[in-house]
Amino acid sequence: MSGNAKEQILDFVRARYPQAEIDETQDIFALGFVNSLFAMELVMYIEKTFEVTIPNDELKIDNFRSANTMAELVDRLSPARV
Amino acid sequence: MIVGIGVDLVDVARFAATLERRPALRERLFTEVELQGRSVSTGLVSGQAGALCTGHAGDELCGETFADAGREVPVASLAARFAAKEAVAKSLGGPPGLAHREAEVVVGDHGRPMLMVSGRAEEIAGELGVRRWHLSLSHDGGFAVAYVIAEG
Repeated sequence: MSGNAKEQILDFVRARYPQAEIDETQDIFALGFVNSLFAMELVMYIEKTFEVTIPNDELKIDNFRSANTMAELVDRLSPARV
Repeated sequence: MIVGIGVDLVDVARFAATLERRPALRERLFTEVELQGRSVSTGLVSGQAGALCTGHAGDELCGETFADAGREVPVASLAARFAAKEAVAKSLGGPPGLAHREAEVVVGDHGRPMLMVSGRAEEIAGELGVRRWHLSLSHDGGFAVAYVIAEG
């Protein structure tokens, strides 16, 4: 799940910012052109794509800094698999 | 005493494109009152209960746009409201756990925009000693801007 989520999130960010060279560890906010509006779009994308609900206490910028941290968030919010 | 200030600038075209791509963002970001541009009673003005504020009288977003309750709010006005919510978060020091709907932009007499803060944002504001909010909105040249002062 995590690896797949990471790739999907990276694809989403790269599609929006094709000029950026982004890897899974890169802080997308440090790149300078990602703003709060895009952060909200990321929230909506993650909720819809991975069928999770991101509670308010998880709406912190550190959760959305990189594909890695977003994939970790998805893992935390996804129902446990058996 | 000023407890905090916040300002935010939003590219209106970028905002509109985002809403078009993600229509559900409207409900995530805005309250029903904001989406409908409804006015509120002026009994709420001037810092009552610490959660309310006066806006900036004469703002260009206020007059005919906000007065026509029931019409769809123009996207530039929504962009300004979004900026206001971000500015509120900044004025509180950017704590985690805030939801955009907790900072609601409502319209008072003469189209004056005011802030109503609730939930976690209200709690933090209370801890910081905020007793009154001041809000000014504007848009021009494809950008919307909001300026917020949290007064103790």
